[in-house]
Amino acid sequence: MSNANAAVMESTEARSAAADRGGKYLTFALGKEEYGLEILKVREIIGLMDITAVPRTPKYVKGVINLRGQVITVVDLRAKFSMALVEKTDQTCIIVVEISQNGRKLSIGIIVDRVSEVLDIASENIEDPPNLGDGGDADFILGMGKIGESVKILLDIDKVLSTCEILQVSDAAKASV
Amino acid sequence: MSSNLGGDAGGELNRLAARLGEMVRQVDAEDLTGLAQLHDALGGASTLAEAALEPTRANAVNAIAIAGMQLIEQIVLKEVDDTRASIDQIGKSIAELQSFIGGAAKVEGATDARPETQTPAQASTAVVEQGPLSEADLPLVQEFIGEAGGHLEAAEAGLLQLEENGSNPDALSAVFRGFHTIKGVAGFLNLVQIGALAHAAESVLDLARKGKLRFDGAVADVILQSIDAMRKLIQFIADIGKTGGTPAPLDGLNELLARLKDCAQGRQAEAPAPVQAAAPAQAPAAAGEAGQHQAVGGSAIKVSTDRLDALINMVGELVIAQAMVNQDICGLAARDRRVSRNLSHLNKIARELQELSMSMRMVPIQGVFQKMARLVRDLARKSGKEINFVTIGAETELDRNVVEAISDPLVHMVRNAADHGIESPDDRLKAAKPREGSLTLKAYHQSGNIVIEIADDGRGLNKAKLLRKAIEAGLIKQGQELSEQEIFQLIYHPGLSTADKVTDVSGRGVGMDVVRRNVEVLRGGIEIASTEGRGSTFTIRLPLTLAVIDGLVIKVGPQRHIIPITSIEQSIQPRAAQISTIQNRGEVCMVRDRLVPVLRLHRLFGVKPVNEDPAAGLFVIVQSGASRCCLLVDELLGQQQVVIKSLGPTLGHVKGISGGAILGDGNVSLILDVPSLINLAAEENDAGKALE
Repeated sequence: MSNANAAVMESTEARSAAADRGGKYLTFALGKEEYGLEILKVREIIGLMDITAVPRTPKYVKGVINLRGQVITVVDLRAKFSMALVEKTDQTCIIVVEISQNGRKLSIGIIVDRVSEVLDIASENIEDPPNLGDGGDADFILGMGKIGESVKILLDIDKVLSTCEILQVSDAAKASV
Repeated sequence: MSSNLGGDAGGELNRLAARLGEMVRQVDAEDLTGLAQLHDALGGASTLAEAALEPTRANAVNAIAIAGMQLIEQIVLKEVDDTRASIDQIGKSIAELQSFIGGAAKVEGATDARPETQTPAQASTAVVEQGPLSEADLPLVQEFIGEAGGHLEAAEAGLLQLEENGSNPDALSAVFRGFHTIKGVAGFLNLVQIGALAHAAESVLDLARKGKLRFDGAVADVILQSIDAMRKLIQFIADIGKTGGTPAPLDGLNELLARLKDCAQGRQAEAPAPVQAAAPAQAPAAAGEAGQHQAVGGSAIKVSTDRLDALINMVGELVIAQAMVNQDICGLAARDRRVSRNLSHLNKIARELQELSMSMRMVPIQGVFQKMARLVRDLARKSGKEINFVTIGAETELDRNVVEAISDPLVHMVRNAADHGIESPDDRLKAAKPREGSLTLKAYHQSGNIVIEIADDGRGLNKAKLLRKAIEAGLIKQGQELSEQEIFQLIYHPGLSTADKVTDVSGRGVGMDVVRRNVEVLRGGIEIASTEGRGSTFTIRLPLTLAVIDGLVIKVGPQRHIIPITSIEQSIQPRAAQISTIQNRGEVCMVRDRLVPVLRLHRLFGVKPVNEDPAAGLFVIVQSGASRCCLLVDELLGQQQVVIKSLGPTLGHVKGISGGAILGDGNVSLILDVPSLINLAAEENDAGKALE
């Protein structure tokens, strides 16, 4: 029964993402860029803690942490987006998101420079991601949210953190060793 | 649902049965009219039953009805003292009668609607037409699926017991009950196929129960097949419950039904009337056994495994949190008596809670053993061997997950023992052994482990042949000296089979390799003891639970890791002279005259170690099967029991890491996966591999 429920939830989520992207977003910063995450995907925000590195994983996988007894993977979003790495500050924090992979829910932490605020973005203020040509990977961008003069990059976090991608990269890493 | 033969009479019979129930509730000893009506109604039921039901069932109804009528006559004639009790007795008879009639008419329609003249194709549509399940029934069907599994298991167990001792009325009743209950619920839920099959099997069993049918191997076979078919049917229903749609007809169901019917009818005539006079003598012992089993069952509730796992996780967290608090305030506790007392109280509760929650996941290994009994029976029949299968310690409890995971390896090993180990009766007689081979499956606890032994008195492992095959396969060199254990280890090599002929059950040489890998995944090990011509004993040692391990906490650079204690052979402080490099690539260490490849953990993990020079650090020598490897570490921090946590699907398959564990300070440390580390060492160190 719970399977069916999960499937239903997933399909409604998918539909709302495609048709109606308006809603509440948690915005955070990586360097000068502002990003947004669907609020429903966010489980909690925690301060930076000791992260246990896991060998033979892609560079952007920082390791694992103990979140009240549950071991969760932490991904450095700067590394994931091939941005320059910076020193951690006291504003650096981990956003724990809940993503669904093949119908299963799992929690993953993402390291961001700074969490900003929760914004209500109406769907008419959200535009499709611009075509960035070969270099840009617009696949995991849900849309561009316009708030006054500024633009927030709204992420499809499921796609950003897809399991198979992590596994693929780790296979590649293995092969290169 | 069925408008076929006997349908009208059946319907009338059902109505009459219902009326009988009402009448007996209202009647009393002084109400002569009421008694007379009841008398007539019982007579009517008896007549109707002959028209509506098949003979066995009609006979039963007849017997009950006549007994009831006689009692009524006695009441009327004032021949009985306690009329109230007599009427109660009639009430009970009528309830029994109703149970015979109820469902019967329904299912009857399905099975008996197959007149001899019908072609099989038509018959199949008549029997297996199973409409889609109604939405409202789905929860009930789910429950039925769960329960039916249990009933079938009980029936199977009873059946195997029966085969050993054909005159055990309790076992027979147990088998009968299983089918009877399934039939009842299936009729209620409109699961026609299952109902029909259960009914047919039940009829056969009923005859056996009444002593009208001799219970022999052929009957057992057909009933066992019915159990298998029933499992398949239930699986169909389960699939439909998930995906919707209508059930596919089960191949061979009709043949099976026909065989059951033949069994019931054909044998009925030839069966001698006073069957199994010895039965009562053995009954008490068996009854005692059955009583014990029931007592073990006790009262229980069903809890979903998800909830249980969540609870166990929470308790695990509690224990970790408590350890952290302990560390934080141990200074305070030393000064304040009250704090220290309360703290130790808390520790005690937390520990007990953990033990309790762990024990909740424990299930007896009985189910698996039973499966093996069935397997051995089938194998013995197929190969014409005589095998006495004995299980000891079936009540031994272990983690549910372990039970599930150990089932497949056990199947392999039991199969091997029955197929290769035990010889044919003729060969056994030639070797001066009893005709009947013996195969013993034994489970017991030993120092925090569960041990499962598979012992046979068959031909044992042929060392010379193993060596020859290994040399042929190029695994070892001619003239190489190997210890007995090392020779036995050869059977784990994939592709190395000592069987001369490949049968459909075993002999392809993949089995033992898979077995060992499965057992190692469970962090267990296998030992082999074998004497040629006298039999072999395989001993599997497994941890009680998958959730907690004893680990050695080690330090490499800034990181702490955990090595499972079970895979550690020793740790040494190497001298520089012990270590040599091979072609400037691989490193090996001479340990007690053996060359063991070295794996520098810090290189694997990409961290800066305290000691780059092995001679300044420590080697932990780990083993998996026959292969070993030295792990270079900086420091040994101590032994600790840790709760294993999965790293989750994202990182679940990292080579060299089997999981994470949360240490006392709340940080995660990684548990090293020794077998894959050894492989890594071998990969990076080809020279070392060649030496191993």
